[in-house]
Amino acid sequence: MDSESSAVSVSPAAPEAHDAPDATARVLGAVLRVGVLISAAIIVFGVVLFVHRRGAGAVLFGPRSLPAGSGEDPSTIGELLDALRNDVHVPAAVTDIGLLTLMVTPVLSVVVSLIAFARERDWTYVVLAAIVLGMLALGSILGHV
Amino acid sequence: MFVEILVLSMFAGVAGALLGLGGGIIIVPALTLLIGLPIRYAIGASIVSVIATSSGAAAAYVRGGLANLRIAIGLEVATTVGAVSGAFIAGHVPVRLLYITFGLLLAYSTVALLGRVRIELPGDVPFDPLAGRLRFHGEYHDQVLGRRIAYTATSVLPGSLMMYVAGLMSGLLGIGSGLFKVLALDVIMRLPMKVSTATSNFMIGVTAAASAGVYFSRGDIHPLVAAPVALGVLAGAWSGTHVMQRLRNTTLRKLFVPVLAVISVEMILRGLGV
Repeated sequence: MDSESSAVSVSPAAPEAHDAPDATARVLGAVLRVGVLISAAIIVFGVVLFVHRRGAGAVLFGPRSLPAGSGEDPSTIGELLDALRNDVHVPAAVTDIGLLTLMVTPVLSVVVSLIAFARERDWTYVVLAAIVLGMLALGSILGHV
Repeated sequence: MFVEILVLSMFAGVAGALLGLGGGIIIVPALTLLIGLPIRYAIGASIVSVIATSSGAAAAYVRGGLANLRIAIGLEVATTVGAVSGAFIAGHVPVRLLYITFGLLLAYSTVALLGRVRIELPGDVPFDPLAGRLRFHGEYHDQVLGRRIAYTATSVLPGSLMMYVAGLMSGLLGIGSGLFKVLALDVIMRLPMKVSTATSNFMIGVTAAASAGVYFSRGDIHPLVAAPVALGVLAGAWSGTHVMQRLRNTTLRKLFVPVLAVISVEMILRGLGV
């Protein structure tokens, strides 16, 4: 009992560690929320542009077939920027940017977790979060080969 | 087409947020069978659905303390290693054998979960030193029971192995990793069901993000298919998180078991080529 209470009072990290999860959860929740809201807003904007170009009937209640092939679609970051610069397929490019923002959000949450663990000086979890990020990078490299 | 996909995706989002799944198991058959879209756009949309469910639900679950960050990041190591090794061996293993193997594993898990259907809280679990070292514990406020529930994980190594299988599966087949994650957390590591589905929800987005870029650059993510999926699933997942906190752990399991049973049968049948 004595050793326990002294351990708590001696270690400066203990009270911090107790408060930290709530703060981390708040920041992480905020990052996820902001990521989701921003991407949803961009996607909605893209859909509005689609409706503006093709008409609400065609886009929202159109036939069960896909407009044009996937060739229309900008599918790399470079093609996206080209599409916006040259004013072609702008609705698709804007929607894609919204979708990409959504896809980046979970990765961002791991980055935020890593920073939070570092602030808590929980090095075990800094290493674990770094391994996860490394694996995500490796996975995307492997996927492109 | 847009409005139909939007409505279907809302249902997928609610189910995903409740059960810790990505909704791909609903989105893919719905888009191919009901809407008649090509399979590649359906699979691309299901990746978007997983990420939307995960981010939409986790925003609420992380703040509510239901999703356990340490357990999620710690086990995500096993999952991402599984996903990458799955990507490595993909093409070298017979897909039908994979479906049968994973299907049987799910069938076995269904039986294991049936035995736990009536368990509201895990209570005291066997002490696992690794869980102590990794701080795999936490507490959440249970709205139904009206009190704070403290919990600790057990069997961390077997649970990690199951997480590896979850990653392997998403790397090899691109589906179902949420199912295995919930099973690892609930059946093996014996966390409360709500914590299991919420933590799985946080994890599945990270796993899916690894392969999302590939599907995107391949052109499998069609904007007019993926946009209503993303918006519908986000709305559904957001409302699902509100419903989930009012449900009992036992209710969640009762919803989970039939889903598990249907998918295991579906996978075994696909493996047999029926």
